Amino acid sequence: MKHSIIIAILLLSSIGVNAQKHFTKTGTITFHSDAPLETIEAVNSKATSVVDLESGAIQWAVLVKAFKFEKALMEEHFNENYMESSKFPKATFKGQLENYESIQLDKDGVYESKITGSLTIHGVSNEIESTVTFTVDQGNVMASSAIDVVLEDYKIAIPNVVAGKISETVQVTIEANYQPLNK
Amino acid sequence: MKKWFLPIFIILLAGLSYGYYEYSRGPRNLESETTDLAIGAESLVQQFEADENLANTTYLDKVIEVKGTILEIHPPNDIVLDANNMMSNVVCEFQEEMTTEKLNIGDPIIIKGQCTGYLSDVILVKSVIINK
Repeated sequence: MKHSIIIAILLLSSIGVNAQKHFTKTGTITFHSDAPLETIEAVNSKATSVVDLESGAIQWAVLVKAFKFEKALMEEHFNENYMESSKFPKATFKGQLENYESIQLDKDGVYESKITGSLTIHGVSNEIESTVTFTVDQGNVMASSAIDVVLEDYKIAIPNVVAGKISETVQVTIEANYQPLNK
Repeated sequence: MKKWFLPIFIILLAGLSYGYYEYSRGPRNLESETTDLAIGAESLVQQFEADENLANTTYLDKVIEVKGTILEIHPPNDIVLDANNMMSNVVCEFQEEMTTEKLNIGDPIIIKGQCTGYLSDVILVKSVIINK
């Protein structure tokens, strides 16, 4: 029932194509580490994100404990030793798209934008910069981006016991399939 | 000298086997784990909305059984439990062997999952169906 109300509102307010926020609750974030002794890969498909194409504001949030690993031991190390996810259950990003005005929702295409903002992992925030690729296809908005995260920048310590099992810099990729949000 | 060789060898082998077993353990299967807490979907979301830090202390990382009605089904492995809340519900991501087949919107259900916290919904992972 909630959804038919949302659809009705959407149909009524289709003035100003960029004039609404887009969101997702099923954003995918993957984490990849290549180290001499081990390759670690984890996926989180419950990330939430809101993007406002009118102002260029964009936000991401993810629950650290929702990353999935192939091996239980890796998941334990990740949560207990590296991320301390019981103390810091979320990782978040709050930022600004530079080139948001060129993204046209009514014109299928691929749009690139620089993105800057504050990334908070393990309770530590750093200003970061990256590129986001938006793909508009029949009104659907998809976004993808990748960044390298230097663990030391977020005070993520690699105990000597597991040195060589996790890389000092990890690759993070972000994908979202946004839906229009109406409030 | 050879008398001592065999017991040490066996201990070493046992140690290595255990190490290998620990290392190659796949993701946890909650079906065989004890439930820490049982709660209704509505109450769970209310608690997170009222005081997220307190709710995290109570529920974060715990294996919880949540009772609710299916609000949404997103194959292949997500369902949403109705928390009678305008903004937030309980999102359950199934573990790999579970499937959303045979589930219907409106079904009462009990889901056992690991609580990972609260974003715009309370999110459970490694979920299994306990009862239908």
